[in-house]
Amino acid sequence: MEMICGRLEQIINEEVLEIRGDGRAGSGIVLTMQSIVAMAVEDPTLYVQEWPFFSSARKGAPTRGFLRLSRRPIEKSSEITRPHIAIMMDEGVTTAIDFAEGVPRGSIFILNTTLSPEEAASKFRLSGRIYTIDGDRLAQHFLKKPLGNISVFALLMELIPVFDPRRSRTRLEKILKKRRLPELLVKANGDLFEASLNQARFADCDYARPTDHLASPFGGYGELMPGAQSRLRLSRSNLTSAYARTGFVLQFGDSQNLCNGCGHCIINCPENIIQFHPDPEIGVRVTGADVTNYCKLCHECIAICPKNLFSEVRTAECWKVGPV
Amino acid sequence: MNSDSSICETAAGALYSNIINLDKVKAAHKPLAQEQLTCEADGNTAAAYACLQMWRCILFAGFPITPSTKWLETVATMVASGKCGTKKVKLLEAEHAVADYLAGAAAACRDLICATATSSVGLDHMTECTRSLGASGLGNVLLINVFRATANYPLCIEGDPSDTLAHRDDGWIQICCRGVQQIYDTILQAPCLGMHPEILTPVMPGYYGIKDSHRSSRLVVEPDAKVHAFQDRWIGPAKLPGLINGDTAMGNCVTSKFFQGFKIDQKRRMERTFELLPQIGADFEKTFGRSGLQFVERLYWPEDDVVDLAIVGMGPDIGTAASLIEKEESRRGLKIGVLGARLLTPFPRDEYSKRLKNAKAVLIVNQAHHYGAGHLTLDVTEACYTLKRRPTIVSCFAGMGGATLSDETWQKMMDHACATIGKEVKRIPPVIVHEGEVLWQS
Repeated sequence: MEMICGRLEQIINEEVLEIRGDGRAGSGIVLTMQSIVAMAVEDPTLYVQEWPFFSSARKGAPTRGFLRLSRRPIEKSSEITRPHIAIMMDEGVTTAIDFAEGVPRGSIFILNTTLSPEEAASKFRLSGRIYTIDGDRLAQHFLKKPLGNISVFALLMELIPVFDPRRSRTRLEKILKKRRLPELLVKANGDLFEASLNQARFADCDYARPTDHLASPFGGYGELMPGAQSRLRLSRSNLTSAYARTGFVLQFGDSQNLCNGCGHCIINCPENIIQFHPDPEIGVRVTGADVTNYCKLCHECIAICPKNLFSEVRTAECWKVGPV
Repeated sequence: MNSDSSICETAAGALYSNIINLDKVKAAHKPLAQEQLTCEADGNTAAAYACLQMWRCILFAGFPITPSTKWLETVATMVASGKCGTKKVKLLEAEHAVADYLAGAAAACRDLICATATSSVGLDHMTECTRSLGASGLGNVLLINVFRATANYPLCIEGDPSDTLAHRDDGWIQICCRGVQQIYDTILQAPCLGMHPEILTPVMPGYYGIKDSHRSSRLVVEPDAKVHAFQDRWIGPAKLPGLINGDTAMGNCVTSKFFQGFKIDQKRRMERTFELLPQIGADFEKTFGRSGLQFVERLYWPEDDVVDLAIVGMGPDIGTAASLIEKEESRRGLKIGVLGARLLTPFPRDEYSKRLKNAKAVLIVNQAHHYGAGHLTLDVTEACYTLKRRPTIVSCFAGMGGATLSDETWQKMMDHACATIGKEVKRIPPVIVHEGEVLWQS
């Protein structure tokens, strides 16, 4: 731990420490980063900047947080692509993005997971100092819901040597009060912070192959089709199904041939995934939707269908993957 | 109005005095900061604090639109909490209504600052009114524009100045900021410019959506009393009467003969910015110890203005360019300078001519889509036109839609510009660069 702290202190003094965190909207990655800013502004010799990256999607969609910290003025404002510390706040996000992309070998990884550092490093093929903390379990105890951000913040306070973890609780509570959280919840978060200290496990692991987590070079947008939007919209890197509510899936059922061919679902679907074929009687007959990659459960089809043929069901009730 | 001098008699002979008592308004102000404070804040919060600290700013109107929503939320929360005295926040049904409301309120009392924040299509929705406001002489309207591309298809919430640049001809003073402190400082100075009796032009300070509106950093909040003393040096009681005192500032119907007069008048007032902006900026620096308003920000620029390559851009990304220059200069064996655009309208062409007179090449980075060479390029090129030795103009587009400008992107653009130095080049077609690759060339 001391060696890592020394290294981080040197980076902060002589260069710029860069931290990147991945989570889902609502998983608290932004609060974690903002809490670090709140700590940093108290020290006039520290410069700090923090900002989130998110789309116009709703809760549950992947979000990213960036933070720079230094004793020198920070002019740089571009996204952080080779962070010294990479945070994975929510395991669910790992299916949509690679939280370790571009992270240099030997860097620090902080994972909110039940896994041990070795298990996590092996699963995600990581090389460097791996810290894991079961923040969800701790938060379940104190806040009655799984939320890893306070535990990850506590770990960061232990790791980044320019902060005093003893003062962090007071500062954290001040931030939460500013957000108008009820007094009881502020205290519970403070207790959670204390309980999270010294709870992380760590190991130095080397599981990444040379080809793993390489920052993929930007390949342009390819040859655009006439009316070019569709290919861009369906680009492989923008799998909008990641925005959908976890555990639910869209279902289409028309065993009684009720579809009247109105086509409203086809027109209103923002992802263009409604499947249909020409029908001599009603014009078009809708047969389902390809929910594999792009259905974000926006409910447009459910709301618009006059025959109520679309519905949202629990994934467990609809095991079939692919066209429904 | 507060004093007898501002009581005005209407043509019909009616007198409206003491409708708004400025002394009472000032006395009712509750300070946000008694002394200098340091806190963490993002761009929207910094902008909101600045507005809440101005005693003249008691009327806020708004309609939420990402990424400017937090400005409205912060203002509304603070006002509702009673911490800011008797201020009023009006949530309206759309941006058009907001602009109309502000126009009416500002015309009613020219001594009050009427503020809102918007973004992208929100600004577009105000267009009918923003053009009228430009001509109106209502310099007490403050519109904070959080840059976001103007379209709902595809909808993209990150910083792209196409909205503000699409409204360059509306008749507003437009100023670009970067970083929370500059946002806060600029908004404190903006009404001094707009409400100056010789300018009387509405102001539109702006900053990049997400990249700055959501970027948190250290903010120094000045004591309200100091802010008031500074502003009161520049904003005196308006000499013109407001609607309440019988003036019809808006809604005139005129023939073409008079229409042109309006435009000439608008230009005359707007041009006074060139003389007064540096004075306000210098006073701000003297008062608060930080850089005040400037035509351009010299991020990395020699005192003697001698550079081989000049880079001109705007917003937070120009900071990334500045952070690279030391290494790039030694690697390329060239003198490189970086300028960040601050005053967008009216465009300070003389300042650019002065700074760029020795440059061999000028790399201009445009972040808003344009079917020509780029908004900023056109203005800078025109500024260089009369120079004895014209630099080669290299126009690039990067960061459209708020895309990140990586080190590689800056290096590629510098390669592109440096390749022209010492060569006889007639015209360099603009290129779009992203992640170090040229994506498109005209």
